[in-house]
Amino acid sequence: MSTPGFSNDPDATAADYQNPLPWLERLSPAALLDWLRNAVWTGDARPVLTPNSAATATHLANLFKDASTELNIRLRSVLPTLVREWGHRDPSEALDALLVLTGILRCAAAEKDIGRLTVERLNGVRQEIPLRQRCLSVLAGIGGEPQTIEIFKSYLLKIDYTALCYRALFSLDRQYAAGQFHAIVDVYGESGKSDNLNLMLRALLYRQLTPEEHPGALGQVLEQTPLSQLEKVLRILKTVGIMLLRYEKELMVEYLYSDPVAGWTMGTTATTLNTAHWERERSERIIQESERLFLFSADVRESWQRSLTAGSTGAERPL
Amino acid sequence: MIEAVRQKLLERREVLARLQQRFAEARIELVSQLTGVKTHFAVDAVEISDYVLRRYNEGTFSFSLDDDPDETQLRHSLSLAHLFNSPSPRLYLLPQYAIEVWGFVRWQQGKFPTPSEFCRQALERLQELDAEYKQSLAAIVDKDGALSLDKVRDLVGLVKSEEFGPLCVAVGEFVQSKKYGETLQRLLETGKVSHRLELILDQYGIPLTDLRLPTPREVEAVFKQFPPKVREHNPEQKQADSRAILTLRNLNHLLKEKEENARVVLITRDQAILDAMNDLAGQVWFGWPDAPEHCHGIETIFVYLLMRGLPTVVEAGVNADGSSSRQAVQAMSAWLDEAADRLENRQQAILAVLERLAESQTHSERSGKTGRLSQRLLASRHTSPEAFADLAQAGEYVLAETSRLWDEHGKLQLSQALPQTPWVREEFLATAESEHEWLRQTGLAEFGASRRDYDLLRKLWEFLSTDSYRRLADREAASVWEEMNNQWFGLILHGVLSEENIALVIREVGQKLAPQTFARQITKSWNAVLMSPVRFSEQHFRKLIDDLQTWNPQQTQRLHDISREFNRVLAEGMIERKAENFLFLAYVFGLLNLWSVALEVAEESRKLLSHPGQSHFSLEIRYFIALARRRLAEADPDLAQAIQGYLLAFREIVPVVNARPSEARYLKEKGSIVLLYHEAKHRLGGVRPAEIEEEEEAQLGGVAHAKELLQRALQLAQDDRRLRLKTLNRLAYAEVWSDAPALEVAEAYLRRVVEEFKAAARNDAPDTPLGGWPNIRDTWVMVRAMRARAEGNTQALDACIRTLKAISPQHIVNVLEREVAEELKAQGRPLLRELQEADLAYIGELSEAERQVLANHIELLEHWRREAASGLFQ
Repeated sequence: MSTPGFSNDPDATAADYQNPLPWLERLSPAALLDWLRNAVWTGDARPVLTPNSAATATHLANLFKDASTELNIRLRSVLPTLVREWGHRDPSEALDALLVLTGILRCAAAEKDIGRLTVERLNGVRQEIPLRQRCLSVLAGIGGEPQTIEIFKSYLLKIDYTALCYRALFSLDRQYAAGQFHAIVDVYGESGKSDNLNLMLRALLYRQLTPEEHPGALGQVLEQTPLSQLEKVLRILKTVGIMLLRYEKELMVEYLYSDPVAGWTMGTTATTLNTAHWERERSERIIQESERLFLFSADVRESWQRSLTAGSTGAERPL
Repeated sequence: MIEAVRQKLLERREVLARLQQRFAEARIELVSQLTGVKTHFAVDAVEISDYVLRRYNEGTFSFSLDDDPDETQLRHSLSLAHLFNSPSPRLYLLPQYAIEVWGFVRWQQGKFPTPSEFCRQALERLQELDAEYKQSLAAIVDKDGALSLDKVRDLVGLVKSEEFGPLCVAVGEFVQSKKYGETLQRLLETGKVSHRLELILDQYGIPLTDLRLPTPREVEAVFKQFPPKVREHNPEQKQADSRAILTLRNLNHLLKEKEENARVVLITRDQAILDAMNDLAGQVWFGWPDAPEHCHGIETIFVYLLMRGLPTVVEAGVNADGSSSRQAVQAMSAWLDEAADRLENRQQAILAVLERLAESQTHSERSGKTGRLSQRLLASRHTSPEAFADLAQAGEYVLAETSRLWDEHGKLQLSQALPQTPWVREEFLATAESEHEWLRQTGLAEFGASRRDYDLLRKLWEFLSTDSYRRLADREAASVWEEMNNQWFGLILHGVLSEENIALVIREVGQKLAPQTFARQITKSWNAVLMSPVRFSEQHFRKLIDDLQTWNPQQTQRLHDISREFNRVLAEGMIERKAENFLFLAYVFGLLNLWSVALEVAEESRKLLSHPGQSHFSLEIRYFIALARRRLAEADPDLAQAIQGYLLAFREIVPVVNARPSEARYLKEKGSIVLLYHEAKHRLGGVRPAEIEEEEEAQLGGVAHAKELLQRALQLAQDDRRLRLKTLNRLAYAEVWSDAPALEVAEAYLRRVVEEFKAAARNDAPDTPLGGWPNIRDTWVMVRAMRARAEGNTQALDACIRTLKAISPQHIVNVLEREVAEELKAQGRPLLRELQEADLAYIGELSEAERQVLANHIELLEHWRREAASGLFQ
């Protein structure tokens, strides 16, 4: 029996408590499995001391950053087993910890197990939604299997998971995601969570994607949006500071505001969308909407004036 | 040659059509100013980009008749400088064009480096320079420009070297792009250009949200108005233009719906937009028939700029809001009318003449026969087919001259306008200065441009503002303007007249039928008073000719209108050859007493009749031809020829009278012809000329028949006092030539003449001149002379001869007129102005025919005097 409050392994020495990594390196795979199970299920990770049981997973993950490759390999091999072991009667905190570790350690071997878990074993459990969100989040980081993509697709239009699934799909299957943009706009709208949509888009556009990727991404979204939904989509884009301008044959991305941190600046970007293969009505509707926005949105017109006259960014440039 | 000239004209036709449109647009603005309509101007994005990029040589600028790139560039640049620098009004950007400017700026950004990029590039290039050059450059900095000759030579070597180019290009690009940016910024920051349409709508309390943007369906429909070539060349641009057109329409509709006295007009250099607006105006679905009035070409701005230099406009000045006084607007309007007249109508007419020549030539080549027009030309003025080339050369000369004179006039007018528009001058000098500065910075000044050039330019502009220049330019502009007239008239007449008649017209009328000159001439013409009206079918001719009182000062305006209509018909007559148009021309030539010309044109009218037959109009043509022939015969001093002329006139009038035996004018004409024939025959010794068959003379009938015709005419002319007077006079005169002259009868007719005058005098507005009728006076003298002859009274005959010799407009008040004057006095009415002016100067020149008649009568009376003196009748 281990001594509560001291160690779950009788072999650990005081030095192991000070630096538990060598102790962990010495564990056999089976022993590592036991130790991790115990740590995750009970919160007792001795000789690793955690500030509290809720933070065990993060603490361990930080510790493992300095672990040897061998230990990391062993950890990645045991994590799927533990995920499989988790049942709906087990503490949800345990699963959450396992998922955090899986994600941080990028344990791709657990992908299928997490996928199955997401779909089959979380229904009705306490903390079902946060757990599934955690699962999807981890899958977004490690996933790439067709089954995983299907999972994202199946949860995309459920408002609690939309943001996660959409951003994941934007990486995994951009074509599909672009085609669903208008649909998720509806989902947010129907749920009365438009602010969340704005946040999700800002995260997607300005953190997940670089400005250089914007034309391609926006091009796909706009190309696949049904014509009837196009205006709505363009208005949503305007809420995150993006407008499309037509000049001669080019459709250009125009930023209405500056965000130097995110690396995008009003009035300096002249990226263009490839619209050569678009049907004309699509281009026309985009142009029409940009005209509408220009005429009736004071902020758009202010941006226009600022970007063409001596504004904060325009001044240093000639034309 | 003809083909080349024709081709040139065809090309020019398009330019003219555009220019004409611009004049019309300028006129619309003038009318708006007069009627108090507030006009807001919007500009196409292309005008902004042209202006900021100093791009003046793209597209077309239709002002010059011949393509001269330098002139075109100058005019375009001046127009833009005026548009974007005049203190008023503000220029608006429709949302489509605002976005286009936005896109344009973004596109430009891709072309020019940022300042930091520029510095990096320039430094990199500098680093790559040869060490020697670097040393020399360093010396400039170190020694503050004071360099040794060797160093200077080194730097000149640098300038000449290949290394200098890239350095300059970088500097050049930077300076240029900076300048563009600054220009646009100035326009926006000063508010000269604004994208805020609410600034318009707020003035009328209309919320911006009421403005409707076009639907895709509407856009598609407007897009289709552009010609396929234009659409395919730049579909995106034309779609933007389509949306702009619809937004402009909606904006104007909104102002109209709210019953605001305001409009928004778009200014563009894009002819395709202007054409589309014209086409759309006629389409019901578009719902904007006034569309063309709301879109102006950039040339209209140039026209406005020119008109700023008109003396009246300079004197009256321009209001702070850019509007002009009524007087200035009228002066501008008159100039526009003149310009349109000088250019469009005449060019079209010349084109038509040449086209017909070419057709005629082609026809003769194909058929081996000479065409009708060619025949006439060959017969009348040319002796060989080379004549075609001569005419074409003349056409080409006129074309070139018109073009040159128009350009000269434009330049002179412009030089007058520039001192009135200092912003244009400043803009140009600033541009020149910055160009000079740039050249100096880059060292390119070494290659030609210098400070001196700039100074010379400034001096020139300053000179244009001086009074001495203004006076000289005023005179020059007017003289050039006038000279333009002199070029076309002769050529245009080639399509209608023989060479002799062309010469006659040019000699008598001058180079144009100016309204004032025409009115002055006609008001004093007895020929015009005596001329019977022709009954036209077309309403606009009837309005001008029916009840025409040429002597009546109150109808001066009508005379002006007749001369304008004459000019129009003459020009259009070359294009659309209609019988009635030609008869109108003939009638006016008749009024002008140019009867040979009138006859030739009337003959042309007859040839153009589609259904000669016995129609009312064909009778009028024949009647007029008979009249013309009779007038020509009357004026002919050769009696044998005169007799021939009367006979020809008779042949014309007979079928006319047969067809309409109850038309007083026809009967009177036939009676006159017969009577005059017998007079001439009598003077020839009473022998039938050999050329005339007995049978034909028998058809004419004798003087008795003439009297019969005249009496019938008198009975039928109940509603035409002038016709009655003329007929009574003829009847009195007929007694002179009767086989059994009845002097009492003649005197009775003359009494009736007096009664007619008295009756006319009773009207406040007499329907006939109350005195001075030389033919009546002549008859009166002739009747007296007959009595004197019968009595063998040589003294009386002498008196008659003296009277006849004295008959002139200056010696007018005879017995008859005195009676009329007394009648007026008896009524207690003051003498009419015409009679108060004793010499009745308002009726002037005797026509050639009248002079000839008088000469004939004087000769006759002198013959009688000799007979009386010899006691033959005693």
